Amino acid sequence: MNRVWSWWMSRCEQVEDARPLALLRIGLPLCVIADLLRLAQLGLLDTVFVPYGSGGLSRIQDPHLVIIEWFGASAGGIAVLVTLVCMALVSLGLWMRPAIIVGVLAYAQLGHLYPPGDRAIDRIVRTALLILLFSAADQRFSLRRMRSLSIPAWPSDLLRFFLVVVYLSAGIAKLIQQPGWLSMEAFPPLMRILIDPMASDLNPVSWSMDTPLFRIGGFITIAIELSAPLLLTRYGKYWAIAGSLMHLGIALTMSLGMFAWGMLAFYPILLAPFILRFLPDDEDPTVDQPTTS
Amino acid sequence: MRTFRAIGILLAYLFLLVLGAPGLDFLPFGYLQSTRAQERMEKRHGPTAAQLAKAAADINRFRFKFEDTIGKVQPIFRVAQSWHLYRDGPADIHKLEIHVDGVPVYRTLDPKLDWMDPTMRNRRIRPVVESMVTKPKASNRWGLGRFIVERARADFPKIQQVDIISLSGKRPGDRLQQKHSLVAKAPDWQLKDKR
Repeated sequence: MNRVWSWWMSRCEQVEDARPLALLRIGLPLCVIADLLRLAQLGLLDTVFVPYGSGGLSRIQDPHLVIIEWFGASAGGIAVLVTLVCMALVSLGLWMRPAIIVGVLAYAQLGHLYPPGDRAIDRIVRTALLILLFSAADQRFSLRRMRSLSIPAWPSDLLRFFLVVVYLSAGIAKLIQQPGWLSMEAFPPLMRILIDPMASDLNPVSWSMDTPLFRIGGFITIAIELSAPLLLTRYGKYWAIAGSLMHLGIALTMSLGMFAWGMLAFYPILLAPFILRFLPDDEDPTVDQPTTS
Repeated sequence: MRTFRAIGILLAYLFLLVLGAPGLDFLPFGYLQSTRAQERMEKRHGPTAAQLAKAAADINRFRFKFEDTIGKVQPIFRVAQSWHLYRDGPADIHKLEIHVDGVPVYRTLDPKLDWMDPTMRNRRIRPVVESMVTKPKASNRWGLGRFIVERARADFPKIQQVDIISLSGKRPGDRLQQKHSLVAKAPDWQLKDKR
């Protein structure tokens, strides 16, 4: 037991290059900003983030919604503004910790206000931001003056573990609820997803003959999701290549908004061994103090 | 300090694992709790499978205790750890069609009828559109209907009627039929279900 605990202690004290986590800190909030600005561009903010009684879409709000009581019908606009400012600060690396707390709370209130539009990717982003809260992700590529080239590695490890839980759950859920994912006879579930005109950009009529392609794609999807525990091993970087290609495929064929881009924002930490040499190394060498506590 | 940090990190792992619980989170609390259910399981799948399933159900019941305690923090940040991403697509093809004064102006994924297309396909609006076309009594159909009518009246002045039609049919979807619809007419523009 003592040996296991010593191993765990030493694991918690490992350090890593600060740049991949900094890229995640930049990428995730940018996805949220782009998503909300797109809503504003389409003129939807006054439709989506207001209660039904004030002209909104959704008749259902979550019980944890409090901002309507505080600010009335304009609460959605205030929460959007707060989320945007906080996400920008996180991305810039300024006042990262308070910005994450306030930003995630405001972002969550948007979800409580309009539950149908708050999807898994929003929960994934908020969970990851809460992990970043305890990290030193603002040490590089930020407007802060204090910088370290090395930071504690445990937040990246925890994020990797979080992604394993997400992918593994998704894979198991697919198999439990739809055994057709592994069938050679059933209509390929991946095809059902990718020719659904509500979410996909593929024309169901013109793609209906390509069943074997979707069947193989379905097998690959299940293989990728169920093998996600590889992320916790030294083979994780190879898994990440397959994972990133899967998300690029989703981005190219489906209209899921920020889902694919939000997931791809995690990949700098997964592909770190490949990308480190390409990342800029423009920091002031006089502040090169590895962080160990 | 080092020890506290190591304990904190370990708790964070446990939080994600217990609340995410890949596979287990499908099992309801009472799954295989009664002797009768366990016997039925054993009869159908043999003793080994039944024992494994019972162990999983017991672990899950224990997990529910955490869900009911530390899990309560999740709604504050809206971070429910349940990850059943895209299990399957719909069995049939569904589309939404909008007519203004009897003339179709929008149909899902139709490049010729693309009025409001970027809006209807936006990830925040799409789930409401999706539930409207699949469920005749979708609770948010009134909100979406009202929104579409307001946009139609703004973009097509002097119109008299807006029809919001749910189309459905077997794959590949080349023959879709009207399933249910909403209609709003001037001058009161009151939305009504139409069968």
